[in-house]
Amino acid sequence: MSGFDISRSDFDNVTALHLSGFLDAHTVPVFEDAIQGLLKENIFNIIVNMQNLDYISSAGLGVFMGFIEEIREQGGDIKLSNLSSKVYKVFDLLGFPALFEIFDDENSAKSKFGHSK
Amino acid sequence: MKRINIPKSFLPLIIGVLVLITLLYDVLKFYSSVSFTSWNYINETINILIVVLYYLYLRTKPFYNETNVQKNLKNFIKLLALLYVTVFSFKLILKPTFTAAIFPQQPESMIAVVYSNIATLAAILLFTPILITLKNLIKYKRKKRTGLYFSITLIFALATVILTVVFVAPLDLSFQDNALYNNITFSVTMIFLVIIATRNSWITYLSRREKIYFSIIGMVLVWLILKLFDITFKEPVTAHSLALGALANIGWIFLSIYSVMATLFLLLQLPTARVFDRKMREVNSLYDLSRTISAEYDHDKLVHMVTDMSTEVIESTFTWLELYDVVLQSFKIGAYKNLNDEEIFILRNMKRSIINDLILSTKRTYITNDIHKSEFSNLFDNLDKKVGSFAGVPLLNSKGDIIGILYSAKSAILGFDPDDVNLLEAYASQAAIALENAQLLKISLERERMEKELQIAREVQRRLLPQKTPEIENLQIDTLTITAYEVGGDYYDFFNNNNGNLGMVIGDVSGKGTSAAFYMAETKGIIQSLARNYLSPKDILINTNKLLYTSMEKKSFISLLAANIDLNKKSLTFARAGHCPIIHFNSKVNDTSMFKTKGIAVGLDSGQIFDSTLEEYRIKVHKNDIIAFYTDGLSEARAANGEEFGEERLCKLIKENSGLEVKALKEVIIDNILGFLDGQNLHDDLTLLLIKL
Repeated sequence: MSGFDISRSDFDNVTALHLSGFLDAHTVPVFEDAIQGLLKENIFNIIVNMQNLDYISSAGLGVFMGFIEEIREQGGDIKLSNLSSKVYKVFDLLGFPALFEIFDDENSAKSKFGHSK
Repeated sequence: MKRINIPKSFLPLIIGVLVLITLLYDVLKFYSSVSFTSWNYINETINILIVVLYYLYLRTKPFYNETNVQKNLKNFIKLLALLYVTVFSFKLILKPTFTAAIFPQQPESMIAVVYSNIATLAAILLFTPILITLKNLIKYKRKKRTGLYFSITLIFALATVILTVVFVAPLDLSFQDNALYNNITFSVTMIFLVIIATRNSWITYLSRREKIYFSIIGMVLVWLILKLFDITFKEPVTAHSLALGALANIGWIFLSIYSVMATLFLLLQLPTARVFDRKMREVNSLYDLSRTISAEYDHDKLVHMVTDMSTEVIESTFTWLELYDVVLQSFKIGAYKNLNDEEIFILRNMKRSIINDLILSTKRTYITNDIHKSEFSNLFDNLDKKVGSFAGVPLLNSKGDIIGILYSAKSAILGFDPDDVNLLEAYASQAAIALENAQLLKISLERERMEKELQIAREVQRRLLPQKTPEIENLQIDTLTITAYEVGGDYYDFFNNNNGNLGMVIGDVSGKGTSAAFYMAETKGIIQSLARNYLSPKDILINTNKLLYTSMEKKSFISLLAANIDLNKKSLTFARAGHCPIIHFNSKVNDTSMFKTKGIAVGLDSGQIFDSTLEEYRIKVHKNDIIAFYTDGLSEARAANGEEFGEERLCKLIKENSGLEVKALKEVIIDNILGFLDGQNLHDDLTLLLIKL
C-alpha cells in the first residue's frame, strides 16, 4: 500500500493540514496524531486540504467523526477543501456533506473561518 | 567374572569355613612337620578361593561401583588405616617370630601361626577392597585400553602366583634358579601395572582445595604404603600361604606405584589448580547459562538471569544490564545485581549516556582496569561503592545491532584480565541470542493472536449472515459474499417475509476485525427486533440510528440500506443511510438506473440531521426486473493499476445479462470481478444481493 503524508501550514487563526497518499486503517494513526497535536496547541480552526489525497477509507472518515464534537464544543471546526472527485464520492455517499462544510479551495475555507470570527 | 549362583548370605559363611580349614592346615603342618606337597596345593587353592569368593561378595556391595572420586579416596584411606592398626596391634600383642632361613618363612611358634592367619585374614578382608577403590579411581575416565590392560595384568599376576607356588621361589627379580619363571611373569605384570598406574585423570577434576589436601595426605600415604609390605605382609602372609603372599606382593607393588604416581601428579598440578578451577567454573557456568536461557522465553526473567549469573562468575562488585530501545533511541536499566534501591536510583540518574553512547557507536567491549586513569574517572562519584575497574560489553543481535550492554564493575583496580573479558563477552553473546529469540517468539505469538482474532471475527460474521436465502414464489434471490483477509464488516439480512412482503437490509460497518463484527451483531439484533414493529425502511433506519448512536464509538459508523419489496403492489420502498446506491434494471425500458437517495450513515449524528436528511423512496417494479444491492467492496474492487471496478461496469453487466436467472447472473458477475482483479487481493469485503421478479 502506498504511503501517507501530512504537511501543515499555519495562518492567522486557521491551520491547514495537507493530506497526500492513502488514508486507510493502517495510516489513520498518523492523521489522528496530527489532529491531536493541533488540539494540544489549542488550535481548533482546522482546514483539511485533500488535494493530493488518493484514497480515503471508512476508517479515515472516522477520524473526522472522532474529533469533530470536541472541536465544535471549543468553538472551532474542521472544514474540508480540494477534494478530488473520487474522494468526494466517498464523503458524499456516506452523507458527510450534511455534517461538514466542503470547499473547492483552501482560501474559501479560510475566509469562511474569517467570517465566523 | 561369571555370576555364581550362591546366595549372598552364604558367601561369608563359606569364606569363614574355608578360613578355618586353612588355619587347621597350618596348625597340623606346624605340629606334624611332615611335608604334604599335594596337600599344600589344595591349601593354596583354598586360599585363592577365599579371595575369589570374598571378591564376589564385595561385588554385591555399593562401594564396588562407587564413581565419586572423593568417596573412593576416603574409603581408601580408611581401609589402609584399619589394615595398619589391625596388623600392628596383633603384632604387638602376639610378638610372633618367623625363621627367615628357608623360603618361604616359617612360623617359629604356635602364636606365630595364629598371627600369620590373622594377618592374612586382615590382608584379604582389607587389601581387596583397597584395590577395588583403586580400580574405581582408574575407571573414573576410562581410556580405550584400560579394560584390556586390566585383564592382561590379572592373567600375568595369576601366572606369577601359580609359578611362585609351584617353584616355591621369592619374587625378588633375581631371575635365578627357581625364581626365573615367576620373575619373568612378575616383571611383565609390573610393566602393565605401571601403564595402568598412569590412569589417574581423576586428579585433574579435583578442586584446588582437594588437590592441596590430598597431595599432603598422599605424601604420608606413600611412605606408609611403601612400608606396608615389609611390616604387615611379608612374613605372616607368606608363611600362611605362598599364593596369597605373591598376590599381596603384586598388589602392594601396584599400590605403591600408583600412590607414588598419583601423588606426583597431584604435586605437579598444584600450580595450575587455581586456573583449572576457574576454567571449570566458567565452563560449567556457561553451560548452565545456555541451558537455562534456552528454555526461558520470558524477556524479564532472562535479563535477570544473565545479570545474576555473570556477577557470580566474574565475581564483580556489582553488575547491571542496559537495554536499548530502538524507537526511543535510548538505554534503560533492565536488571542489576548487588545494588540497593538507593544505589540504583543514583545509577539511573548518573550520566550513563556517555559510556552507553561510546559503546553504541563502537559496538566493542569497553574495559578500564584503572578507572582513575580513564575518561570515566568521575562516572561513579555519587555512588557509595568503590569502583576500581569496570567493563561494558555490547549485546549484539543477529544483524549486528546493539540490543543492550552488560556492565560489570569491580572495586579493585586491574579487576579484568583477558579471561574475564572473554567470559563476559561469552555471556553477552549468549544473552543476546536468548533475548532475540524471546523477542521473536513474542512477535510470532502476537501474530498468532491476531490471526486467531481475525478467525473469530470471520466466524462471527459468517454466522450473522443468513444461512439461506428466503424462498418466495415469483422472486429469485441470490447472494454473494467474499470476505477480505482483514474482515471488513459487510452485513445483510432478510426480514418480514410474509403476505407477499420481503424486507431486506445491507450495510457496511466502518473499521475491520472483531470490533466490526461486534457492531454487526448489534445492528443485526436491533434491525431484527425493529422489523417486528416497523414496515417502513425509513422508520427502521431512524430507530436503528437512535439506538446505535449511543452505543457506538464516535469514530465508528455503519452505512445501511433498508428496503421492502411488496409483491402485491409491485413496488420497492427503500431508504439509504450512507450506503451504496440501489441498481434497478427495468425490464420495460431495458435499462438500469441507480438510486442514490439522500441520507447519512448510521452513527454519525444523534438524530436531528439524520432524521431530516433521510429520504424514503418508492419505485414500481415489474416482472423480470432486477434489483441489485451491493457494498463498496464491489464498486471499489481495485485492479493492479489502481482502477476501480465501479458501478457503471456492474450496471452494464446486469443489463447485458438481464435474461439470465439470478444464479447465472451472479456467476457472470463473479467471473467479471475475478477477471478484473486478475489475481489482486480484495482489500475489503464484497457483498452483492440480486433479486429478480
